[in-house]
Amino acid sequence: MLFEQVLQQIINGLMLGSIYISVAVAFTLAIGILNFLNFTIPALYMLAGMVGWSLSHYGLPFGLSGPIHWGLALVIGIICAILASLLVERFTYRYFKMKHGDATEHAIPLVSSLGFLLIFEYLILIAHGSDTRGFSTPFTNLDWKTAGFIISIPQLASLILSILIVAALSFLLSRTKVGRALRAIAENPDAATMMGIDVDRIVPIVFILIGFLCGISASIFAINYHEVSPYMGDHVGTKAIAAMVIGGLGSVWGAIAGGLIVGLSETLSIYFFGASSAQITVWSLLLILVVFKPTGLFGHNAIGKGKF
Amino acid sequence: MSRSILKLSNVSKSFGGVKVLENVSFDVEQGSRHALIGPNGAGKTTLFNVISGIHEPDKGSVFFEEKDLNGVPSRKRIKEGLSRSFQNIRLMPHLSVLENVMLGQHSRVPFIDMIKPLSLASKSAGKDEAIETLNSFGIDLHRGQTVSSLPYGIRKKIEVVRALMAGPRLLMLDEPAAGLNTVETNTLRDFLNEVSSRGITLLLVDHDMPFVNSLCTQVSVMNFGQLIYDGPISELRNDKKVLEAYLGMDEDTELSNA
Amino acid sequence: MSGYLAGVLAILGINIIFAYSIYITAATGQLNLGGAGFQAIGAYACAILSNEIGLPISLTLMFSAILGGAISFLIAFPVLRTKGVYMVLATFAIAEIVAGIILNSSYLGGPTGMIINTYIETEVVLIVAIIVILLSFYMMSTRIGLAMRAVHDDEAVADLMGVNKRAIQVGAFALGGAIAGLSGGLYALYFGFIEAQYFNANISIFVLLYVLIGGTQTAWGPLLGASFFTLIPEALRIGDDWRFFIFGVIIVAMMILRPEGIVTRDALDRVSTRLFPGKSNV
Repeated sequence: MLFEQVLQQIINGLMLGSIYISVAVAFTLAIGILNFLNFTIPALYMLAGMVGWSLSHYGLPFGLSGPIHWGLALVIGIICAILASLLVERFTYRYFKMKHGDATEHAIPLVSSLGFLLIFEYLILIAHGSDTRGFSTPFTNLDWKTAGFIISIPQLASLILSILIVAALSFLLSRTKVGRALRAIAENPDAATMMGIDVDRIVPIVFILIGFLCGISASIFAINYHEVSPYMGDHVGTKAIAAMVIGGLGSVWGAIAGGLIVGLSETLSIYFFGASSAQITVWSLLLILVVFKPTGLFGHNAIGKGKF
Repeated sequence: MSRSILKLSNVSKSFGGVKVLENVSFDVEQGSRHALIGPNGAGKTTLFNVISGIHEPDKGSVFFEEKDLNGVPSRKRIKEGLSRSFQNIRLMPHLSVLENVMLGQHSRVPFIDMIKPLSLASKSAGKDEAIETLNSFGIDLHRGQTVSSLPYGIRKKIEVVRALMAGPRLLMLDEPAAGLNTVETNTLRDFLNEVSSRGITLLLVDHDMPFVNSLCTQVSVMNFGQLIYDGPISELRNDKKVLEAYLGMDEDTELSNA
Repeated sequence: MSGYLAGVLAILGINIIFAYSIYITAATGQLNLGGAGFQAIGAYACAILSNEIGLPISLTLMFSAILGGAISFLIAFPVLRTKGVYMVLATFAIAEIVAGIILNSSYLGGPTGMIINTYIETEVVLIVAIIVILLSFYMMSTRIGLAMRAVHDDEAVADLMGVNKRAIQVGAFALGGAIAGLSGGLYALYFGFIEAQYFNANISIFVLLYVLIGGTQTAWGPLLGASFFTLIPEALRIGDDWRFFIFGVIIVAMMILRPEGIVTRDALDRVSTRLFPGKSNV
């Protein structure tokens, strides 16, 4: 019986991990390619969810329309996250690149991204207050009961979707022209410029991907857990950072493994030691890794050691 | 023959399979003015880094005043009496000129002076000495400023002064004259002659052959990580191996002036 | 002193002390994004010492600082092995672990928090703040401060100049932890109630921002940064949500206009030449 319960927890943990995957990939892209710890990611995630909720609940602003279909609302939410991400690119990465040569030398983009985190989070709080909002979709009780286990079908679909997106991304990075340009920038931005790569046109692609991944992940969360809140990004954001570190900074596949490991250790820790133990488990794991094996499971040695 | 202050014996170093230094051995005599020359990439700066402890040699030893420096951490070598400047200027960008120079004194300041405020305890904390040395170089004007805004030539000089502030018995200078104009180079030479007359041994890397020629008496020549000449500078131009190595060298290495 | 003013000044004092704790570490080139954790250690140490043992306030505060310092000294060795982003993440993780331990400990009140049965007046907070400010200025004006700034600028060269970089960094990290503990102790004694949820990631982020926006090059930075971000919202008398929104806008704008902070060496030099022409500034 205990064995089966633990197995059920493992299933739940993997499902929870699927939420973290996309966000962890977003973090790892920013670090791996731009050496930028992008703290706006939790805010972009929250923005997509809250915009989606607001559209499906109230409709377009200024009474332009009635409530919008939840699917369309989420798509618009994702687009908003992408636009917000591009705004961040404009005022953090690109600006400092122009001014200081190498933006990654300073903590400036990091500090700016903390500023944007506050801006987005409190804009939403000002607009909608701090309540958790219900997000209704038709998928309420689609559980697949098999061999005594309960697997939520939307969750399973989400896990598969996350992995497919990351696989596509991995393909993009390794096989396409854009991917090669991105990897060249990751190696050495100055050399990439000399090789004729238009860094100013390629870098926004990273931010578009970041916005897209955050938006997708927020939509998956809203569909599976039927709620959104202005604080939804904080929880997922910190867990995704942990997932990124565990997988190794800059490693896309590592982020998948990391996301699942974090989800697993979270649910198992809650199951065995109670609700508030997850925090200690996940962060101790991260701390030990950062100190003793900073490359994580699949990471690259040189990433993230640059001086602030 | 006088005593050697620095003795390199069979020093080898490679990075990722590339041999940067191969069995380099030579002595620097006490009180001498010794130049280390060679084309770019010959391994001169790596040799400096090995001597100052940034890299451990793969093989061989560095002896300073007959003491084996193997295992002495880079931080403690300045206390042994060995200080250096850098090829690409490495001054602290957020410190003023005076603070940069006073940092050079760090290794010989007793702890009690470490916890005195710099602006009050001027004499005991070595501030007067720092100002004096800066003045003798003609750089009193800029001492309140942070160094990043200063012209190249002045920053170059400040680096030499900083290295000197440690009170070294061996001063290692990595291309001190690079980028200086003729007047500045002459000031530097006079200054280094003065330093040398105080009994401080000089070991310097430079590409400016007239400068090296007028300052140094001994020279070691390196090429592809190997020592190809070691002896008095006056006989350098007669050495066949050196002439071969320099044939077809880039034009800014003006051996013809030697 | 009106109650409102006293309250604002007490928060200002605590924030300034807290900012100096992060500044001391940042001055050696290390970013500590776990300030809340060290503050929480001091606050809970203070709560237990005054509730269970009933030590006098001065001793209680001293022990908060010592405990904060001792724990961060022990943590410094593994944490300072890490560099750059990893150090930011490691310190962040420490704060989360501390909060997690408090939440799980019934002895520390868990999620319900703790009530402290002694309290202090605003004056005590302000006196401690002034002492911390003066000591920080003093330290940064000595050769130790010079060595710290040298390590900040170029670790490798500072090492070759004979600066014991590791001792400087560990010392700064431990001292920062002690000062953070002190600020936590003052917080606990002034407000009389502490809970784990207060010492969250946002607190760590804010205090780091005070320091980075104020500027890490001189000891003026944290004083100005903390004062600016504590007093401006009070002066504007706006709601909490708008306050943090504007905080965010200011941060983004500051990074564009003065990325090295409000107070830089060059700015100080210009001011001092204007005020005392002819006098050389060290």
